Amino acid sequence: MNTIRRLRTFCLLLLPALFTASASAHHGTAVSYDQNGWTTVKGTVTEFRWRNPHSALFLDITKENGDKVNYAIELPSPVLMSRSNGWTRATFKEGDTVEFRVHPSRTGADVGECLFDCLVYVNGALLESRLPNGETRTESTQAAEGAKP
Amino acid sequence: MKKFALISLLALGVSMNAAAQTELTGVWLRGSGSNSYPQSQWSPTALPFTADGQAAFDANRPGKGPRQSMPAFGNDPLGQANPPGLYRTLVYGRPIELVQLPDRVIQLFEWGKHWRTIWTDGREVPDALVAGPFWYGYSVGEWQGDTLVVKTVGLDGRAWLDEWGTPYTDLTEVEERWHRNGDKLELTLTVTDPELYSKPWTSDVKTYSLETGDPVNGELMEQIFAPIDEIEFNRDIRDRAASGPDAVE
Repeated sequence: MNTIRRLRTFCLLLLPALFTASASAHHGTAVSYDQNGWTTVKGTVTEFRWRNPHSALFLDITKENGDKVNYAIELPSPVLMSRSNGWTRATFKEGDTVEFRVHPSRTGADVGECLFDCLVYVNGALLESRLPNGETRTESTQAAEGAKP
Repeated sequence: MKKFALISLLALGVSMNAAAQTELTGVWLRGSGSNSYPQSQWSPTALPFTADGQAAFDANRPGKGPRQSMPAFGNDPLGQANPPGLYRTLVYGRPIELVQLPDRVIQLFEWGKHWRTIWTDGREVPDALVAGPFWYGYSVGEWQGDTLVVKTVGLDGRAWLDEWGTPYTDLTEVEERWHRNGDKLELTLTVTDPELYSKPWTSDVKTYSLETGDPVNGELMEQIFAPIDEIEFNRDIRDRAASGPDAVE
């Protein structure tokens, strides 16, 4: 290998180290959340963002301490949500009342995540979703599983 | 003339034999199953890094795998909506559609909505690529029995080999061996790059299942990462999730 090729290779190796913290990935976001814990947030939908790389649902909620915040929930990409859960861009509408079981942010931020096994109520009705065993969560399966989130 | 006809018949026979044994056309999906590997999603054993290879590996800070950290503090090239690249796409669990033609095999990737061509028309692997390197490389394949053996060169080393930050360079050469076993498609890689690896290393067998023709699993959809969406996602979700009161980089 000649000197120029070696230099190019060396520069390529250094490139990732030059990236800043703001230049990183969406993929693997699960590590930002407590994957061993669930919490349930209840609020009013302000926006449903049906987009790649991951969709997001924004809710106005009132926290236990009385603070009112706009809470964000990270969701799968539209393709995955439509395939696994049958959800569409119309699944949530502005003004809907939603109860959503999420993995909370590990940093205490007002952000949660649900990529799998989502347990959701919209305006009091259970939203069908995919169970870990591949079956569909319905009112009857949820009745067998237990209480609301 | 007789010699030409004989060669033509032999070539036709080989072609028909290969086609009869190895129809690759269809939508395929890789299952999961490499979460316990030590370094790379491609290898159940540690990789034979050179010093430069180890440095490159250490410099990559992925959001998944044994070295995972919060993506807000990592340096995954996908974070700016760059293409995943060929091998990261092949190891990720998203549908791939193969279209087998007489002179090539085309792979269509849902993840990022990219594609690659494997030339099977008898051409040689080029010594140099005028227009390369390419995020999806340049690939030439030949049938060895019922296995499609592919040589890929001209890769763009800014991508990662997998989700876990396994490095390669634009000088990396990869041999892929594709073998169909019923409704399963098996892939094995051998990676050669003396800059990063002290010897060629071979992956375990990755298996893809043939998807049925129903519209949910048998049809590719669009999953493009557009910078306009990526910027918004990073600002409102990814970085926000990492910036709570208990944040520690």
